[in-house]
Amino acid sequence: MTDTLCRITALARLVLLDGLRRHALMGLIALSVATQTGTLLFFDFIPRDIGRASSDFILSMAWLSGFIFLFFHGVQVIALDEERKVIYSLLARPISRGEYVVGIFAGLASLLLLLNLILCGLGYGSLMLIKQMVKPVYFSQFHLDPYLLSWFGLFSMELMLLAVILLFSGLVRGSFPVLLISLSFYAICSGLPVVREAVAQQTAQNKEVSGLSPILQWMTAVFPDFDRLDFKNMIASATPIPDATLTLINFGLTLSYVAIFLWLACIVYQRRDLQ
Amino acid sequence: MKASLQWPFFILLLVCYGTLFSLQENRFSKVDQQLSHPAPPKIQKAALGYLRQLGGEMQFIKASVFCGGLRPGRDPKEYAEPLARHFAAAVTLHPHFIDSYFLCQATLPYISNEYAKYTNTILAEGIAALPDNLVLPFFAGFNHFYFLSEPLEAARLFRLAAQRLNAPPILEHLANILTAEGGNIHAALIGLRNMHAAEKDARRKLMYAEEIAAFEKAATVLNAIKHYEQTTGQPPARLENLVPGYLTALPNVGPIFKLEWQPPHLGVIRLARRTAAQPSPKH
Repeated sequence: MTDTLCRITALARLVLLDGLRRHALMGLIALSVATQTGTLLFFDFIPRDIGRASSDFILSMAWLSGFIFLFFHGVQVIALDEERKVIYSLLARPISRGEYVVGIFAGLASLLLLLNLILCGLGYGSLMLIKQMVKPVYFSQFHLDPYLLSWFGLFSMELMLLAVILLFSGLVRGSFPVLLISLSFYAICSGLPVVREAVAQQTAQNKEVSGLSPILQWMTAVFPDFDRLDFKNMIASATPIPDATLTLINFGLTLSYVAIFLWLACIVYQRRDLQ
Repeated sequence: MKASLQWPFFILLLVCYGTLFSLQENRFSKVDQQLSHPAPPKIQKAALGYLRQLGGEMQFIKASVFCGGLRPGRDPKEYAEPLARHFAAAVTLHPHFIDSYFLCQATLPYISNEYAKYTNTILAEGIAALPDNLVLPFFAGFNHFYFLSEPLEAARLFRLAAQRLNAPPILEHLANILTAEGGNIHAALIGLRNMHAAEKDARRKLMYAEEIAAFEKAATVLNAIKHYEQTTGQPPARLENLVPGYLTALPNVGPIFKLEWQPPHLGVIRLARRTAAQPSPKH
């Protein structure tokens, strides 16, 4: 067990260092710093609800950075391992394919964590600066717990997407098809809650039980509803944090989702012909 | 191409681009600023995902920048529809963002009664999303009262606003006055008596007492109308018909109020509104 962990950590460190060497993290941090500086311009357009708009902007920009990281760096790293035949030299070492998958995941997740930690700190600084710049009535509330919870929710979403990208990378050859399939997956995840809401409204209006609702509900098990991990609204308002059990359920579900998709990715990689 | 011709050709290309760019800028600066119709809010919601709150704020910014750059005298009906759609999109994407409601209230209901109704549907989203906010039901109540001449609906919304935390007593007072204007005099009387009993300030207590006295007089007229209806089977055409059979004389509810009889409704109208406020809004 310890040996397995050592091997996974070693591979994760390689991915982390590779990411740092390729300036993936630095580039994204530079982009995020630029966009977060943009918060100082953005809030000038907001006459009243400045606290809410600024925190929305900061977290949205962080999501955008994470999104770029996942789809343009994550997908590339996994695909390039195969395209540049790096995977052969790695698997020639005493490391199983399952450990390879978990190692790549851990490395990319560490990069994501690092990115989010830096952006979380920068975002906090920006918010405090804005809070000092405006009258208290326009930024009356700032709650640290929901702020941290929002970042945790954001990171969880990114981990779910990373696990899905790893699975697709095992199933499909080439970075571009993986990118397209992963983007489609994300589009379904974003659209499904809207469709569910529309069907629920239609069912309530017609007072008939629609057969579509249970199908959509089961689809949500595969295409998760990311809105449930979105806590942005609570940062600058008096809205209470969801109760502990609901939070545990949400994050427990995220953890199991990531574990299942990684497990599937391991199975796919073990059965895959790498020639 | 010869190397000696490359640079002059490139400079010519730059001059050509610069000229066309200035022509285009010149042409567009003369055209009135236009606000395009946004994509349907549900499509935007599905497409934006985690960024939907930012999307809502962007819709608000687009609308506010457009409103800020409007040429004086421009017919509001030219841009009312896309503006209304922007507000609808903004509040669907981000129902908790308060600025969309403020800008919507400041621009849309003044265009026409139709848009006053539309504003109230937008405000209804905010009332549901922000149950502690007293300004949104106040806005909706104001629209019902001022633009749509629906005092009872206005009274319901002012009462809703009055129930919010730290709501000023004037909201409850307004609700009672408008309840009476809408014809529900007994309910208004109960509300005012409660306010009178709870009030500590002597000046306000006196004001409530005067209004209670006027409403009590109006209630005697209302009872007389009911008796008249029971006897004759129909309401009186004029209030004077109640004298002397049902009332010895028509009570004077002035100087603050006057009775307004529009069969079968008896309203108690606050005169101050008629004199101090502007004439009914022109659309």
